[in-house]
Amino acid sequence: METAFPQSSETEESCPLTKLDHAKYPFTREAAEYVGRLGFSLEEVSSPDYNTVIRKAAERILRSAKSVRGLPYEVSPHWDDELLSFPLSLIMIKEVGDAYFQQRFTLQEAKLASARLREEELKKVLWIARKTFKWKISEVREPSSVPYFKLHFVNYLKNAIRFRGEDKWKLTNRKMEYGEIYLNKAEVVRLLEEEIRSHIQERIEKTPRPELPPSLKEAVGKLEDELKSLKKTLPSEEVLGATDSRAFPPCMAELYTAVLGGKNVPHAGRFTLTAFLLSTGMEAQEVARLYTAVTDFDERLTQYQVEHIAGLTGGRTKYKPLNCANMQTHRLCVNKDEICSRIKNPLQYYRIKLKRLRLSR
Amino acid sequence: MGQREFGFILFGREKSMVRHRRFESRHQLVDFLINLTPSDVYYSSAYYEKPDEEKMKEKGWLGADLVFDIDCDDLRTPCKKTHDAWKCLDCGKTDVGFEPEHCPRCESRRIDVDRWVCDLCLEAAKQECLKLLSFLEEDFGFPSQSISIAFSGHRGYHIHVEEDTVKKLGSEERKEIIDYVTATGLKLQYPEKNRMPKPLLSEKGWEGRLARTLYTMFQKRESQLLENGLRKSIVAIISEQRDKLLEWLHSETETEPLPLKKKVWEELLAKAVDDATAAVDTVVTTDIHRLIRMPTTLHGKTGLKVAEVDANSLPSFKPLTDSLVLKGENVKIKILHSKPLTLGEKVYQLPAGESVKLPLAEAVFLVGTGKAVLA
Repeated sequence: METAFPQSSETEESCPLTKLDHAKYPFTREAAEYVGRLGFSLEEVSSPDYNTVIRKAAERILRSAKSVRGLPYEVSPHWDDELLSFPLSLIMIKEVGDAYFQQRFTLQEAKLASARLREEELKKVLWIARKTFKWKISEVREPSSVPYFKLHFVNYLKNAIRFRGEDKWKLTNRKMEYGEIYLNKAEVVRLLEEEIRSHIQERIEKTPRPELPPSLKEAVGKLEDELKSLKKTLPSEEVLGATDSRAFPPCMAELYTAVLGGKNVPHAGRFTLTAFLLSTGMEAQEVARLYTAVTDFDERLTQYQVEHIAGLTGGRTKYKPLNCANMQTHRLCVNKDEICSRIKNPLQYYRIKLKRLRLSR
Repeated sequence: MGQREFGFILFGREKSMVRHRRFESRHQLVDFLINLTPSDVYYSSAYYEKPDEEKMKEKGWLGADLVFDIDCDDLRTPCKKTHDAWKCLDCGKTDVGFEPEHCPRCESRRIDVDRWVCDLCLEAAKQECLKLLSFLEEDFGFPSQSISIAFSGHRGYHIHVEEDTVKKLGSEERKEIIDYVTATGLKLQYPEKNRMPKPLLSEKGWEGRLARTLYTMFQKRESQLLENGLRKSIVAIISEQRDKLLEWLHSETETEPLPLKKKVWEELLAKAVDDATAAVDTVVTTDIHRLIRMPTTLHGKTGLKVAEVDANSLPSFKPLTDSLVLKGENVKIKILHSKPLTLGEKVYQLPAGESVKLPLAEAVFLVGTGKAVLA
């Protein structure tokens, strides 16, 4: 399958990434350098030659807004256009400025990359990890076993803390020796996905907001319209029905935005948020739909779990959200405010706040 | 040095701290110390662009050393019964030893504690320190030259790791490191439903650590095991099956059936986890803006030196002897609370109410810790 790869990262090698790889992994250091060499500039985008690139950039954003799935699509034969659409999409999503769609975009891009990396030659995966993300990673090959990897724990921790709540990612449960953590390929790619996500997030944050040429301005305007109409079909504040997210206690507001943004929320957090939302009167189906952006979303399983918590299936027990003391134990209690000091359960907060909101109206 | 924040406590103003100070050189700091003669000196584990800014946001955090604090107050040593006591502030119940979470008589959580430190407490803290060092070197792979150890001058030890790789770690990442050395969240894998996992001696991470801890445990004499807190019935089982158990752990095949009942095994495992973890304070390590007592200065309450200890000489280090620096004429003091005091080679247990003349170091220790007053 893959070619032999030297174990030491110090060995001088030539870059294994091709132009096609730059299109597949446009976030790499090499891809950025290549874009630089192509002499891509914003003024040029006004030329009709760039219409395809603009269209592709808008597609990247729209695709992520519709659903976050890690299905790798074929790279079009125009590799350079495909590649250029990435930095352009960063400028466009920054211009749109909606944090929710930005999060979905970074997540989708990261998922797309990891789906491709799963099938990728090992040496390219390791190259990207080392050169773009400065990972200290080496491959261990023993005749009798599948290849495995050793990654420095600092590189590991930076990404694995996002999966907190999952036993297998807890540092305590990893095999670690002399600062290196033993991983299989799937785990390496999963951690890389997280690294890519935060890398793109940072890139967006650092992207300046220059005066856009007319053709791009027009494209962003169109994109904004489409996103606006998309938002209506997505579970968001406007369509929550009876549930009023403005009355959420700080802990639930935090979990709610995290889930909406596709962040990986630990099990206890999902459980309590689900139970909370159901208690505020949200339909089970609607709650399940919230989780579509979460990294490890499994539609059927989520539906089942939500219905279980709602008491529609299984033991028919309708679960309550965790009380404040338990929220604290799970480190889910955040940004306490004045109402928090008077209550023992997040639901009490919701009722008090709802009353206040109605009075103030 | 210019990137660290320094803080000081002054004599007679123990409640407040002079902080946000920056020094470009050792010379500058020494001059300042001579002028101010503070009782306690602290410096930040963190590095800042502007350590002298008062607002944390404006300091510009650049990174922080990885710091651990081991405090014998947290250790349930048997000697606590001889020198610690507590009092319930609601019903007035008192007792000796480690304080309960809530009063056993009235359930109140308002409990006042009277704590003391002795050789045995500090020896226990040192053992925790040695365990932590083995984690830091073997599991985390920190080179020994980047690890420094200091006796805190009172109740325990501070361990600093100064390494570029860890400087940028955030609180959450540091919490994961704490969880690792305290086995928090440890889940041993069960290969089959009714079969216990067999930890391999040669395995990396916690599994190997547990196997090795159990191996050492199975080698111990009955009296040592009982002393170690194992139940009599369990000790009997170990002593009876000793050879079989050692052989079982020693052979590296994973599939061999366990020679113990599940319940016994789980109890042994729990004990092994307990023995192998290092009792470190979670707050100090996760606080990336922490001020820490500066090594080579004196502790304001005890007068003992915050002594740097080389890892190799840690096992033979005697904190209450080796960090004794104050020398001078005897001082007359009046004892308020009777506590066993061992400084240097001398042992004192002076009754409350008595007025005595003691060497300067002893007098400072008792007065500074509030157990005596100048007479």
